[in-house]
Amino acid sequence: MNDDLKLMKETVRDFSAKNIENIALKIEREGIHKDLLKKLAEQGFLGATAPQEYGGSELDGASYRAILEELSSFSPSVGVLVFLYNSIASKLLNKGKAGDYLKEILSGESTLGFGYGEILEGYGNSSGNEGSDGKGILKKDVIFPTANKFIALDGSGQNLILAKGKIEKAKDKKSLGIRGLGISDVIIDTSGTENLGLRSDIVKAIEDSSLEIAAIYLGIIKGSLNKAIEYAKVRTTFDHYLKDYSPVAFSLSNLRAEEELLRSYIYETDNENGKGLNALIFAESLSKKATKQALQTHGGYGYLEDFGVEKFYRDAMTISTILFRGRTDRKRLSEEVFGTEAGNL
Amino acid sequence: MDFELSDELKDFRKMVREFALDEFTSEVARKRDFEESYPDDLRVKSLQKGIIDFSSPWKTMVAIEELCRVDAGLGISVTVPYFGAEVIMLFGNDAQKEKYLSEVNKGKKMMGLAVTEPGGGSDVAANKTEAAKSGNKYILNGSKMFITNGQIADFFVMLARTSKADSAKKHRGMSTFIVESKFKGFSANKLEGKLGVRATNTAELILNNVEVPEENLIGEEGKGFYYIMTFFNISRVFVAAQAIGVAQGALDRTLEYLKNNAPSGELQNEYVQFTLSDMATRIEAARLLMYKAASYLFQFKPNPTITSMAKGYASETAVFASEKAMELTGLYGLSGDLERYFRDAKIMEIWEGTSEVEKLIIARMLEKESDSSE
Ligand SMILES: Cc1cc2nc3c(=O)[nH]c(=O)nc-3n(C[C@H](O)[C@H](O)[C@H](O)COP(=O)(O)OP(=O)(O)OC[C@H]3O[C@@H](n4cnc5c(N)ncnc54)[C@H](O)[C@@H]3O)c2cc1C
Repeated sequence: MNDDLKLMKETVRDFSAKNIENIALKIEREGIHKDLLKKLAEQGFLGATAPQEYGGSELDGASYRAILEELSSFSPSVGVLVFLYNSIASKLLNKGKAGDYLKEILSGESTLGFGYGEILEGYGNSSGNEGSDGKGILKKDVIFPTANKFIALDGSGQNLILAKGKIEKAKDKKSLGIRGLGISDVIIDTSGTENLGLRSDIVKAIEDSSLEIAAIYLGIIKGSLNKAIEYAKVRTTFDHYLKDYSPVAFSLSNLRAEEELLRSYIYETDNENGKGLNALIFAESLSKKATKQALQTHGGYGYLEDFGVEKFYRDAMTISTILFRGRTDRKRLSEEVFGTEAGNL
Repeated sequence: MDFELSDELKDFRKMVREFALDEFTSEVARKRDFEESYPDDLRVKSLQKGIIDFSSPWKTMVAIEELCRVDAGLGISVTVPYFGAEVIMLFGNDAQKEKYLSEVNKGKKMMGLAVTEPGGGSDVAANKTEAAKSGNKYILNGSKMFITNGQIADFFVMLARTSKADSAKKHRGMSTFIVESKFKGFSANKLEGKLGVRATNTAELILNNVEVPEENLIGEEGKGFYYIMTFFNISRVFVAAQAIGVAQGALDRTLEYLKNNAPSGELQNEYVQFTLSDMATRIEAARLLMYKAASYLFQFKPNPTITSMAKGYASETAVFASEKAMELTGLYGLSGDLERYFRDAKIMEIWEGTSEVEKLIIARMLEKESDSSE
C-alpha cells in the first residue's frame, strides 16, 4: 500500500472516529441525518469518484475503496450510501436536468433513494399501482425510503427514471440491515420524471463494481473483528481472558489473516477479467463468517444493539441480498473460469 | 428402536401446528418483533387451548418445536412463563410447589430463572450475587443480567452465593432461592434492542438488600450450582426444540417461496437443490439427536453428552438453515418473514450454554466416559 493510500485511510478513519463512531447507534435507530451527509460531502466522500463539474472529487479506484472500507468499518450504512452515490448515481445522473440533482445530492443538500428491489428483479409497476390516482406507484424494497427523489423503473420495467419524492411510506418494519438508510416499500410520485437510461445500465454499474462491494465487506469484516478482538482481551471467563482460549484465539486470528489477504488483493487489483469477482465472492462468504464469530465472541452482549456488533451480522446478510447476487455472480465467475457458459443447471 | 412418535403425540403435534398457523400470523409476529412487546394474549390463549401441557415433557418438547417453527419470538414467549419450574419440581418442597408452581401451572403467575450476571454467563461458578443469612431470612445483594421474563415474572429461581468463594471449589457455596419481584429492594430494567426473539421480555435485575424468607431456599444450602446444572440438562433439550423449530420453519418457508413465488425453474437448479438437501439433512439429524436426548431424559436417565450434542448441533442448524434460507429467497426473504428467522436463530447458540460451552461439556464427558469404560 503506498503512502498516499495510507494517508487516505488514516484521514477517513479519523473522520469516522470523530463523526460516526459516537453516533453509530443513533444511525441504526434513526437513520443518517443531514448534518452527517453534509460532513461527508465536505470531505469529498459523497462524490469521491464523481466528475468535478458535479462537485465530485474524481479520486482513483483504490482511494475510493479505501473510503468505502474505512466508513463501513464504523457504519456499513454510510459505506453503502457512498457506494450508491458514486458507483450508481454518479454514473446515471451525470446529464441534463438530472445533473443538477446530482450536484444537490453530492453536496448533501438533497437525498436520493433507490427502487432497488424492482431494478434488481427487473419488473416495473406490474407489481401494483397502489396510488390509484395514476400518480403514485408502489415501489418495493426501496433503499433509503426517506429520500427526496428516487431512481426507479418506469412502467415498462425497462427504463430508469428519476422520480419525485414519495407519496406515502409503507407501514413500519425495521429492515434487516443498513438501517441507517432503511429498506421499505413506498409509493413514489412518478409524474414529471427524468429519463436516466435503461435498466441494464444500472445492472452493468453494479457488475462493474465488484471490488467496491468487496471493499464494503472488507470494512464490515474489519469493524466486527476489531470489536471481537478488543473484547476477547478484556472479558474473562473461568479466570482467563477469552483470548487465552485456543478456539477463540484461533478463530479470530484466522479470520484476521483472511481479512489481510483480501485487503491486499482489493488494493492491488482492478475489476478487469473477473478479478473483482474473485474478491467479491471471497469477501461475501468471509463477511458472514467473521460477523457471526464476532457476535458469538461477545456472548449475550453480542445479541444487544448497544454493543455495536450485531449490526455487522445483519448488514453482511443484507448486503449479500441487495448487492451480491448469489447465483448470478457465481455463474459470472464460473464463466470467467471456464471461458464459456457454465453453471446453468 | 422406534423412530415414530406415538399417535397421541402426532395428533397433538397437528393441533399445535394448527394453533400456531392460526394465531402466529405474519402481522402479529411482525408487530411484536417491531415493538419488542410480550404477547400476553397469546400466552393465555395457548393455555386455554391446551397447547401447554406440563404433565407430558414429550408434549412440551413437540409444542415448542411446532410453535417456534411458525415464529420463534412468539413460540418462546408462550412457552417460557414456566422457565425454571423444573428446579422447584425436582428440588423444592411441597409448600413451595403449592405456593409457587401450582399458580404457574394454572397460568396465574409467571416465573423466570436468574443465573447469568453482568460479569459472566458461561462461568456460572463465578457468580457474585450474595445471600447473607440474617435470622430467619437471607439478604440478597447483586445483579442478574439478560433475564428472560425479567420485567414481567412474578418470581424467579435465583442462584446466589451463601458462602465465600473458595477459589478451588467455587461452585460450592451457592444456593437457589425463590425471589418474588414484589420483594422490597428488587428492581428490573428492561433490555431493549435485541437482535431477535424480540417478543420475549429480557431484563437486568438489581438486588438491593432484598429480604428473602428462609422458607424460599430451594433444597439445601450449598447445592445451588448442582441444581442449576441439573436444570440445564433438562432445558437444553427444549432449546434444541426451539432451534429445530426455527430451522424447520426456515426450510418450510423457503420451499413455499420456491414453489409459489420464485421464477419458474428455481427448484430444478442443482445449486438450489443441494442447498435444500443440506438444510433438510441437518434438521433431521438434529431432530434425531434431540429425540435421543429426550428419551434418555424423560425416562430419568439423563445423558449430558447427548443433551449437549443435541443443543449445540440444533443451534448451529438453526443458524445454518436461516442463513441458507436468506440466500435462496433473496429480496423475498429480506422483506418478508424469513429475515426474522435469521435474527431469531442466533440466540440459540448463546443462551443456556453457548455452543462453546456445549463443546466443553461434551469433551469432558468423553474423557470421563472413556475412563469408566476401561
Ligand atoms: C436474550 C437473552 C435471554 C437470556 N435469558 C436468560 C435467562 O432467562 N436466565 C439466565 O440466567 N440467563 C439468560 N441469558 C444469558 C445467557 O445464558 C448468557 O448470555 C450465556 O450463558 C453466555 O454468557 P455471557 O453472555 O456472559 O458470555 P461469556 O460467558 O462472557 O462468553 C463470551 C464468549 O466466550 C465464549 N467462551 C467462554 N468461555 C470459554 C471457554 N472456556 N472456551 C472457549 N470459549 C469460551 C462463550 O462461548 C462466548 O462465545 C440470556 C441471554 C440473552 C441474550
